[in-house]
Amino acid sequence: MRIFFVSLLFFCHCLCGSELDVFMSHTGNIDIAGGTAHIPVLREAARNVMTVNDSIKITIAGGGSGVGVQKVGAGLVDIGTTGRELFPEEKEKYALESYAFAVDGIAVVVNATNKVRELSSQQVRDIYTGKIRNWKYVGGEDAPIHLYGREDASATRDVFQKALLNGEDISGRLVVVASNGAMKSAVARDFLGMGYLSIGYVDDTVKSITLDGIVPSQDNAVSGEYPVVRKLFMHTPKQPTALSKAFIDYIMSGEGRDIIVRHGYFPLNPVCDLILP
Amino acid sequence: MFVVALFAFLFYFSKPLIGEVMAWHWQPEHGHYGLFIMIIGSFLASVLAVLLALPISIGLASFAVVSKRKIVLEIIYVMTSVPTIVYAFVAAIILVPFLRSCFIEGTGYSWLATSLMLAMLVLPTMTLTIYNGLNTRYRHYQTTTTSLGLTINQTLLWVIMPLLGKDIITATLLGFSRAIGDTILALVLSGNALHLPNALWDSMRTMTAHIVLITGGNTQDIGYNAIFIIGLLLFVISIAINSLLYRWRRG
Amino acid sequence: MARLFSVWMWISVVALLVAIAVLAVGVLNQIDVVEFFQNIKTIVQDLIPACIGTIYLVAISSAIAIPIGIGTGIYLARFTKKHFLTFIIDILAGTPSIVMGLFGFTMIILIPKATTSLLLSAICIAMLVVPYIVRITKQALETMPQALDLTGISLGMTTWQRTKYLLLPKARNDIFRGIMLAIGRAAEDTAVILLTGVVIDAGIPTKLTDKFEALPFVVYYSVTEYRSNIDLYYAFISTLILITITTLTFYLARRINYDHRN
Repeated sequence: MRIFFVSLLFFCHCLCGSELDVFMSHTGNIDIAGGTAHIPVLREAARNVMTVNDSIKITIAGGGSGVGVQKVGAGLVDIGTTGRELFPEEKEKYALESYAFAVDGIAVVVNATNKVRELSSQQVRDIYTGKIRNWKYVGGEDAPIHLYGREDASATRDVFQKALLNGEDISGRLVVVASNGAMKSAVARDFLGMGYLSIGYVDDTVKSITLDGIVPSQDNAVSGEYPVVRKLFMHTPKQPTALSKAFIDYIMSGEGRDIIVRHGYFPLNPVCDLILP
Repeated sequence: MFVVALFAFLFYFSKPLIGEVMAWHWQPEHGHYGLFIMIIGSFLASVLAVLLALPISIGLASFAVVSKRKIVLEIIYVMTSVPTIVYAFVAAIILVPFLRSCFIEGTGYSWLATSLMLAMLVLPTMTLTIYNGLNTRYRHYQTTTTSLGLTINQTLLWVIMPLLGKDIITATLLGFSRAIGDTILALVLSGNALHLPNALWDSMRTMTAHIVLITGGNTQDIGYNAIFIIGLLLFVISIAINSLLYRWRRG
Repeated sequence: MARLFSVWMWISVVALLVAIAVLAVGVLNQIDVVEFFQNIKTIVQDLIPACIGTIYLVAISSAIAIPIGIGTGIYLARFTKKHFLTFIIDILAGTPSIVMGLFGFTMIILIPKATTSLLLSAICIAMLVVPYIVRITKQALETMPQALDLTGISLGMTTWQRTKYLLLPKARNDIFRGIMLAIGRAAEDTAVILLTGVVIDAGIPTKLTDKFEALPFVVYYSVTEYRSNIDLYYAFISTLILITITTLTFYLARRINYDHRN
């Protein structure tokens, strides 16, 4: 399976491809806002572009996927990013072009020192709805579970809740953090902490939980085995600026895909998108 | 002028939501837009902060009047110039883990953490207000009481304190208004949990933090307008406190 | 009883000193000195856009706030008897910063071309600090010795002439005080800029409509998202810079006050 994907990647790499030279002839600003999962990738891409041509300025803001849609829809930024598809109301209200550029899974994470390594989705559900409040019920120590969650605007939260919560109400005891980075920080520093994170953000400071026996890796996410998955999108108005379009093409290009992989996500581009599940 | 414009805008935007907001649950997915939790959260944090700060500011102000050394005052003055964000930074790194290890049930991001730092925030202003009150009065009564043989402590305690009522109330109101309007400390330290804290170490959410968390959301959602209601509420509260103070100073 | 009171006072002082000491030591404890100095060059370099952002913000908001503030202060002190206006200024002085931020945010929704930007943040911060300047200017002018004014009247000067030639020069110190306060306040505020235009990665703003970075936001971002000690150092250095700015400006503001009284 792996070989198939790698060769597919190679194939796509050969087919598509634009480099940084395109940016030499451009000038201007790109303002980006939205999901926090995208930030590491976009930041590196932006840095590359600005190094090549310093008359271009790219600013990146977070705020969550909700902000991304709202701002690009209102014309406040050039590119809005989300970690989910647009809602029907959003599609109706704003005329936007959407570009999916990566696949990302969402892992349940606990502190690196936590004994617990795997959970069933029922257990996760019970923990997040407040029915289970102590680690001892899921194989850990006798200590309270410190739950972390995301704010309303977060697509990471939307996808997580839709996949695992079945519409039940989330516990009021949840500590709310405002981005993927903040979530990682919080769980990494709290021995008894548990939260959910974009797989691309997972590193040594936190441990991802095997869910129903499936390891949360990007491979499993792409193949569909791991259930909590979403695509990362960039959205622009129907008529994006030439510079924005160039930037998006860059992200979709070979170099862009390298950046995406390097940051832990699984890249997509229009061709591959047709083939992958 | 500005104020009228401000008022007008806030009022206009909160119109759609005024009825629905008086409820307990904030769950936009279910159409609940209740802000009670946040409002009470703000009050809880601010009241506790002022309660913590008041005795200490009275003590400090008295000390400053009594002692010959100016060091305490200087420290207080320096404290007034510390940005709020610095208090939040320091607390997040030190206080939160500490509270987490003390009260294992809570994550450290709690009511107590928020109030403690808010208390530190308002302490300088409150102390200075009380100090000014003490000082002017002391100068006034100084000769009389010393000639009667009273020590400084006794003077302060029996003669001046009773007169301080107005100043103490001013200080309290100032501290409270500063505390309730503060955003950063609450955002970073309270945990932003959507429920009333069951205990001091439990997490909660304030109105101010709620505004920041919501501005990320859907503009379509009527819930968005909640930030304007909160803004209006905060504005009204500050106007109320200011009016009280104004009338107090006149009287 | 007086003894108890004494005890109370001392406890307060000790409590305060202990609190400060614990916090200070705790923070310093987090710093691995070697690592810190190894990375200091990159950190400072990366912080330059934020520093410049803060400087621009303070400069622009001061440019807006100072003329308006002084003007209004003069007007209120010399040209009108209405208490209502003063009351409104007091209200503005007491409004929480986030309400100002909200106001700016609302502007975006109402004004078609507006967007979160340096200009918007500067305007909101200006609104935040104008009341301080007004108050101080007004108070300064009102506490001028009567004699000065009377002399002017006897010489046949108009109110404006008296203000401009007699009182303002004397009030210069206090006005400077107000400016210092405004600068300090503008540099440290986080809530307003959160809502009106600060971002994580913006480089150096070249136009008023650019997004910008700022030191308080660097601290906020580091606090919520730090992954390693290095991120903490960013916050630490930003904090140092910020505290230096605010302490300096507020100290100057106070010092001038004392000198004037003497």
